[in-house]
Amino acid sequence: MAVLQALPEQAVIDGFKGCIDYYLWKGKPCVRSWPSSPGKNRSPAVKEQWSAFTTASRLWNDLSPDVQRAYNSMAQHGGLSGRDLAMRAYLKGLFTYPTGP
Amino acid sequence: MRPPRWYLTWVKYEDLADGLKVIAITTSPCHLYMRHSLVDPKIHPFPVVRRGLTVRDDVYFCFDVYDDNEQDEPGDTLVHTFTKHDWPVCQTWFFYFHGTVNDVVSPSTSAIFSKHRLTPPPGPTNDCQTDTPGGPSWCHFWNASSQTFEPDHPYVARSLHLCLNQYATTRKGPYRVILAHDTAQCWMPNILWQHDGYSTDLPLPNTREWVSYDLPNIPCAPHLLYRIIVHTTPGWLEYYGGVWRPAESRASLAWWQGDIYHNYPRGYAWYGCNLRDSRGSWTQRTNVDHAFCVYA
Repeated sequence: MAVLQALPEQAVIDGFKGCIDYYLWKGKPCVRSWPSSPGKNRSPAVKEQWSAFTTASRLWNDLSPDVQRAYNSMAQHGGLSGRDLAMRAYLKGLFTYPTGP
Repeated sequence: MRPPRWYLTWVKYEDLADGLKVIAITTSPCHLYMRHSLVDPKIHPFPVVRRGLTVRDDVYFCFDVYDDNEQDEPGDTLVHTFTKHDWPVCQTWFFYFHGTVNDVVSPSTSAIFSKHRLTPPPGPTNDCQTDTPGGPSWCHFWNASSQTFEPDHPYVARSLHLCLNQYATTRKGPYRVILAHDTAQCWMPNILWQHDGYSTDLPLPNTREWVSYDLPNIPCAPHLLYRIIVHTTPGWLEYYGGVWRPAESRASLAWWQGDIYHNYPRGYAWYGCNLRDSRGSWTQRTNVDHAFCVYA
């Protein structure tokens, strides 16, 4: 991590996307190498989610055209795709209020 | 502990007489509830900000004024059926699914679906007699013909089909078809629907072709007697000597009949009511029925 005198231009920030991360810390512009992979040393809670994410990433191809159309229709007004919403629906649901019976 | 999850792969619909059956299929056993609403769900975009920068737009959904329906099947299943009665034609419902796995609430939900209930295509009811090996009835104004029927289940009648032909190409004139309940005076029936037509719009003589009439969604109750009446009305002409000339006494149509081997079990063919002179009564034709079919 290094403290900068000023953030560079947005084009520079975008150019290092996925490699170097520019950010503000207590108002000070900083730069760091990011992301950094933690490798296989992950917590049990994180490991427990792996199978769910694997399923979520594959489920789109199992959906019928009608179901895919419903997700795509819901995704029309945001930056997410229908596939993103399908993954979210599986992992945590699409609604912020409780849906339990 | 990992929360139980499911996802939905198929949604199918089956028409019911008064609604729809919604069938959902999931890839793992679960117990689903269908949350439905008549209110169009609202989709609200909002920006996602990361360290002061707008990364992308996300959305959240408002699903309002809803009701929950539990699936018909008990326990956790792969196929989930929701039978929805009283779903009017041309009404759109919005719904999504949520549920439990082994009685544990699952965080998973489905997408929001919308379903507009279309008018189902007309289908024949049990009130039909479609064979025509017998002769025709003439359907005179002064000697009308009729056919009674008694539904064995409730339905909404949307179409009436009759095997009704012109009597002869040398005769033409207006006629009337009535669907009614009986009253004490046969010439003053309690009319549910009537159609005024002209004989030349009917199939040609002796073709035994059928003609259909649209009904204005008439609810038919079981074990109640309905009567289809066909008769000519004044204004008939006959082609004679190279010209069409008035010939009221020659007014005739041909409503074809079945025979003793082809009859309808809950009604009969009748004749004899005189609508011109407001007298007479219905006389049953023994063991014979006119060719008719009520569609729902």
